[in-house]
Amino acid sequence: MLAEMPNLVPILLSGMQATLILALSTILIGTCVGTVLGCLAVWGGAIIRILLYALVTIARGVPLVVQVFAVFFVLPVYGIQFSAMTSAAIALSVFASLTIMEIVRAGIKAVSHEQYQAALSLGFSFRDALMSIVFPQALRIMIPGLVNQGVFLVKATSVVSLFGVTEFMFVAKEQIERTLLGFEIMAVVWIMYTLICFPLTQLGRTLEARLNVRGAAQAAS
Amino acid sequence: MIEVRELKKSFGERVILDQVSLTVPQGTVCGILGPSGSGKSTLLRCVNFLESFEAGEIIIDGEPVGYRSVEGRREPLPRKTIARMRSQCCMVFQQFNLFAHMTALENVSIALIKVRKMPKRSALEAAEGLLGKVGLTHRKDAYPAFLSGGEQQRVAIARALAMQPKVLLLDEVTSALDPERSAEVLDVIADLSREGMTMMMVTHQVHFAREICNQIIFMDGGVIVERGDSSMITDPSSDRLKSFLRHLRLV
Repeated sequence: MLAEMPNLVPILLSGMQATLILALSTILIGTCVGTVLGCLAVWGGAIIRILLYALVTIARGVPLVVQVFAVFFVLPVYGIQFSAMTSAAIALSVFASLTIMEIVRAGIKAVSHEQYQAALSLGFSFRDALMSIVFPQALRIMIPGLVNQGVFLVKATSVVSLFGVTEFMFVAKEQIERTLLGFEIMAVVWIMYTLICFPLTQLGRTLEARLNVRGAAQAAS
Repeated sequence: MIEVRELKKSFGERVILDQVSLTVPQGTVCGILGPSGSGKSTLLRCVNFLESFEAGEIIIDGEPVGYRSVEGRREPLPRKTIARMRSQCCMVFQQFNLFAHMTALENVSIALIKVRKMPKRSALEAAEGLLGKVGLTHRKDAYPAFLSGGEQQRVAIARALAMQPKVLLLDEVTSALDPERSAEVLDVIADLSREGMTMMMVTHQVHFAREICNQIIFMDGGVIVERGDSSMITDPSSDRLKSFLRHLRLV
């Protein structure tokens, strides 16, 4: 049984590449788009805000697997067709953007309006007030949420194995069917996911600690 | 220096300021008294254009605040002009509103760097000087959370002074402080008035107002009920001011 493992591990790891690409692109796109959407959700017009609120309600309410399903099988009906990997990346990125938007929105809202007004009163432009005063403080508030969401997104990539994307989970299932070494392979899967997520949570903790030293400040107002 | 003409502001149906007019000559201090909700803070916020207003005008050193009239129509000034006007009449808030993620020194220097585009080194030097002026050189590296209320408010005053404003707006700057802490802030303000800083000051410290204000305005319900020099406090003429002062046990 264990004799199989040296052969199995490289095969399993070959699926890891797709998982990592998916996870990284999802987190990257989600963070960028989510930040922009988060700002729109705070300062955009009423229509934009309502629209974004509706979208995030759907993104949070509909099971992720169903959302991925929509990109894989509903879009092609309208003639929009992507490769399995691209479809997976799109589905996960949309979900990531909307959920991260909520984290960013809440973070910005949590910085008191007075901080922003104090900056304005000194003659700051809107942009400078955001960049120097609001965002640095919002970031500290957002970090735990962002790390959580990052870890969730790494794990969520496994969902697309259901749609034939040959990522880590898909390869693992294939190998289980081939070798019937369910327990052993699943053990490797567990360990690998934990190993990927560990640096993320660690990064979050480090950032939190670093920002907190400077910002024991928060208690101030 | 400051001229407010027939200022009008309302939130929906509720009229906050109604036909408020006043003049604050250069180098003088104008104290604004009045019960909560009388519109005195809103008046200050309008001068800083943190609030919009529907009618009337505010002019600081010959320049209009917030709006201009183009072919008879009233339209908001460009953002840049508004920001520039704000940096010339800085506001100090009741709750200090220091930037929580910055040290005292950074709080005072940030606007010099971002708004005045001063090089960082000279901004920090100027900020040190100002912290010295409010007696806080030794606290320059402390974050707001580690400063007492009085210290925070003095940093906030230094932060406003850094812009070398033509006018300083003080919105109940001692209301969140105990008597000792307010005394240290009031000392700073008294110094400023001796140096000839033009100030508009909303306050409940009636005695202090009498000491340093050249002119006192008493507001209630969005209108100016009574105005005069500091003798107004010992010798009020309107019944409304009399009863206000009686509640403060001053008459």
